Amino acid sequence: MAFYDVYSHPALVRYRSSVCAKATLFALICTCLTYIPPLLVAYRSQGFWLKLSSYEEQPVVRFKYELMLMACTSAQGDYVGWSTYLHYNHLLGPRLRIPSVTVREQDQNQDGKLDVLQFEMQLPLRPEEQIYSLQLLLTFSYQLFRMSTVAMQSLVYVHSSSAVPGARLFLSGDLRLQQRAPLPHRGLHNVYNVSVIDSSSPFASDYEFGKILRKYQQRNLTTVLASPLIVWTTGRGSSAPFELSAEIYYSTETVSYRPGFWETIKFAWIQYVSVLLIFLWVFRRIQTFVFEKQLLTTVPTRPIQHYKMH
Amino acid sequence: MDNVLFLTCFRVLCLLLYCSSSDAQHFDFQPSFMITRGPLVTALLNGSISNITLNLQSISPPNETDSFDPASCVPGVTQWIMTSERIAKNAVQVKIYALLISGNPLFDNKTIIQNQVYRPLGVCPCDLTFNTCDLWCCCDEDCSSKDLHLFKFRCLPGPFGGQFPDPEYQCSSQSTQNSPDWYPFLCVTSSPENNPYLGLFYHGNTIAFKPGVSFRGPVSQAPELLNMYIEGSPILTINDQYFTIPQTLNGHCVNNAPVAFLRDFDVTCVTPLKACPMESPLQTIHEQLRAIVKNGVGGNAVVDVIDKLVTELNDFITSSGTSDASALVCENITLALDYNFYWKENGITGITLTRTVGSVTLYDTMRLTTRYSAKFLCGDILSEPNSGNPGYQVGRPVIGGILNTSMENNTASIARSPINLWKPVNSGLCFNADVRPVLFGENSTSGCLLPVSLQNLTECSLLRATVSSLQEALVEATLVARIGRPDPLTLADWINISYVTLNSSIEEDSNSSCNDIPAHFHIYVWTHVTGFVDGIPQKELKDVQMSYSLFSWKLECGGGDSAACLDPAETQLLPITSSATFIDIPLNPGPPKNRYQINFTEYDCDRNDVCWPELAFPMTRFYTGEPYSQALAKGLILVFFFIVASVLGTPWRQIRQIWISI
Repeated sequence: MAFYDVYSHPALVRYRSSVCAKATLFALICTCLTYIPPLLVAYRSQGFWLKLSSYEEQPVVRFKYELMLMACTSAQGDYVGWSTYLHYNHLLGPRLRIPSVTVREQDQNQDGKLDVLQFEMQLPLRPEEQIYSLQLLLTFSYQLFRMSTVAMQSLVYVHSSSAVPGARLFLSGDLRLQQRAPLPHRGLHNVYNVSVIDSSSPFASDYEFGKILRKYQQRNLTTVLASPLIVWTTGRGSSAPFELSAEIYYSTETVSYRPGFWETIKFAWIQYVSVLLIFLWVFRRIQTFVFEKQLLTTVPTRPIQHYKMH
Repeated sequence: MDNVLFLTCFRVLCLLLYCSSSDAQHFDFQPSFMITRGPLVTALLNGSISNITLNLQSISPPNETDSFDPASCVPGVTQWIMTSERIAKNAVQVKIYALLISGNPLFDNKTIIQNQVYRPLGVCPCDLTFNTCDLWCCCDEDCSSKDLHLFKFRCLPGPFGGQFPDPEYQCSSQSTQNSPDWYPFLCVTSSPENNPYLGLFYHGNTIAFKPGVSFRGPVSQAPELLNMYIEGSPILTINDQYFTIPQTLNGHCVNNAPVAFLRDFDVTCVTPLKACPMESPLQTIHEQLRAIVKNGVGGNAVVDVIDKLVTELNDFITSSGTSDASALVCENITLALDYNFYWKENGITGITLTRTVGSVTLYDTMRLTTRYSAKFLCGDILSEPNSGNPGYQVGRPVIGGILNTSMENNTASIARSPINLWKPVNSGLCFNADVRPVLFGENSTSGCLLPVSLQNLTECSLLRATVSSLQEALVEATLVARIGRPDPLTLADWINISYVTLNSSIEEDSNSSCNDIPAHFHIYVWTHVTGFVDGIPQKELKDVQMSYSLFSWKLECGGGDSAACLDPAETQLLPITSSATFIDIPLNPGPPKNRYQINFTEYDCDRNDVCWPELAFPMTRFYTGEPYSQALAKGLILVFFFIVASVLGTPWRQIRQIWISI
């Protein structure tokens, strides 16, 4: 009749020794060599601690209905302008030209977040005026929620100029977040929740495009219209207005952030334990060999074996 | 239960029910007194009843102003309808209906809207117009079959088009080909009315209207009235209006721009001129310019106007047309307005205006350049501006000085003298070049062009002297202020300038080239940080060295352009340059590092990603994801877990065995 192993189970062998013995020293050295080298190996092979990570989110963007406009109407530099700021319009004096502006924000995929801004503007012009360049500044409120809560006011600056007079300008682009430093992983980040243009200031220098943009670029977190596609069309009729139509898409962003303490520890732990397993196996074999072959003097305690006497 | 919408208003009525009977028998109403809020009242009349008549006797409305028709049970005439019904031998149920018409006949036809959770409001949500076939709405009953045929294949999909598809878990809905794997075992048989799309359009709660952001009408803002001026506040006239000076906005002139206290500006405006200007700011009246301005400390300051006439108009006119003898001459054009505001603490002590006027001949296409400036000067008219207190501020001019020893008092005083670099104007030639001061902390370079001919190159010593004198005119000072606020009487605040002249070359001058021309003038300034004020490091000058680099000049006449080398009067433009460099001496430079120390980056975390100080990264100062205290606290929690693990595990058993046996 053939015989085979029906069942097996491990039996525990204990090796006893006194505290001040070579065996204790050996066991201590083995323990140290089991637990410390995996940390060193995992650390020195780069990437142990997670210092930067990223996530995707579509921001909640709303147009703030504040804008500034300036258009050059002759090759000598005559200009007209308009804005939603009372003081700027007052400073423009006879150069003020009020356009007809239509704005629509749409949520195309019905997920509760607006996806696109459609901006149409018609600027009335005299027959002898021609538009050679256009500068437009739009303000938005921008919010992120998934990790840290970010609330900020941002702007988009569009400048288009041409040597030939234009009749229509079409521009289309994505609103992109520019980060100079990673965001925190939680908490409220509303340092930049102040208006980009100070609408209560009566001074001309506060409405200079260069000064506004310089102050805006000093922020660590800004938005920009990424690579806008601009189409400048010529051929304006004598009494036709100048038409500007813009589409700005509020697209999904990849935001980089600093991982929190527990996330860093978790990823480090995964790396540590995976190397620790190897070391545990190696030193278990070494210790089993040493104590079984009695290379160091210990008192083995075998398990009590019960035999069935036939 | 259904929510029924009642559209009449309810009032509390008090009814008195009176019953008379032909027989004198005992009976009573249950309940005998009733208050109701509805139009229906039900009462039970108990007792042995036969041949009874019921009358409504008196009605008292809750308000004095309301009125009811007199009680009567005759139907059709009044608002009251009473019915009685024998429900048992001894009981008659009496129901009184009140038809309360509130005077608005439209309410009668109101439909009752049922709860949307159980019954959809419209089985056809795309049926929007009454009596007309809606496009692409296949469930619209107003559509004839011919209309339906037109857009049969383009029906609006889904619940919005009135098509409530069967859910996919419905046993009756799946065809055998497309059914998913679990279909026969896990499908559900339920009635088609029980559909998850019920209540799709039901929202239950009303949402409060949140007004969104949109274009607002202009909000007028009057100037803020402050008693005293602080930096950045607008200057006001006595009428509480802004005091305005013409300025530029995005490259164009604006005439009514307010002025901010302690903010200097110097702008130029270009205006194309087609006719003689009649209005301000190009034509200004003396009296209008003498405005009265609030001085911030409760009084007034008057603008003191000084006129200056110029005849040399090169700075103010750019014209591209030809002059015409009969061209119009515009008189008294205001070409520049230079305001000086003298201030002290929070108020203005005086204002002077220098108005530059001139006569302009009107050309064909002419552009007039006008200049407007405002400077805020502290206190004394004669005081000179400082460049920082106590250390130099970046962007302010470096202050140079000349020592004056006066013999009689035996005191030394130092007069300020600027340290300049070239500032080329127009075509960049040296004879009309301007100078500008060296600004602290800003490395800069500039230069100008000197026309040199072959004849000049034959007289080398004269050329050298010319160039030297040009370069030496840039800096006449012999001392430089060490700090930004030097005292003219304290010699310790000033340091000597050291001059370095580089070695002259060995070559001799020849007929066509000159050596050792000091064509490049360089200023080296060493700065260091000497102290901190409010945490801001204060920089001072440690040493200033000025040097001339010597070049050998000869004319370029390569290629086909040999005229320059043949004609002694033909000139070429050769450059004379000047530059300034600021070198910052670090605080503790330490001993210089050898190559091993530079390459050993085990402890340098800026140059090594796996440096040893970052081994316990989350618990060190390098980790910036959370505040240090929080990271440390979490680290201690981790250590606690490890200790607990060891307590519950093998090491504790071993320690306990040792402890017991000791």
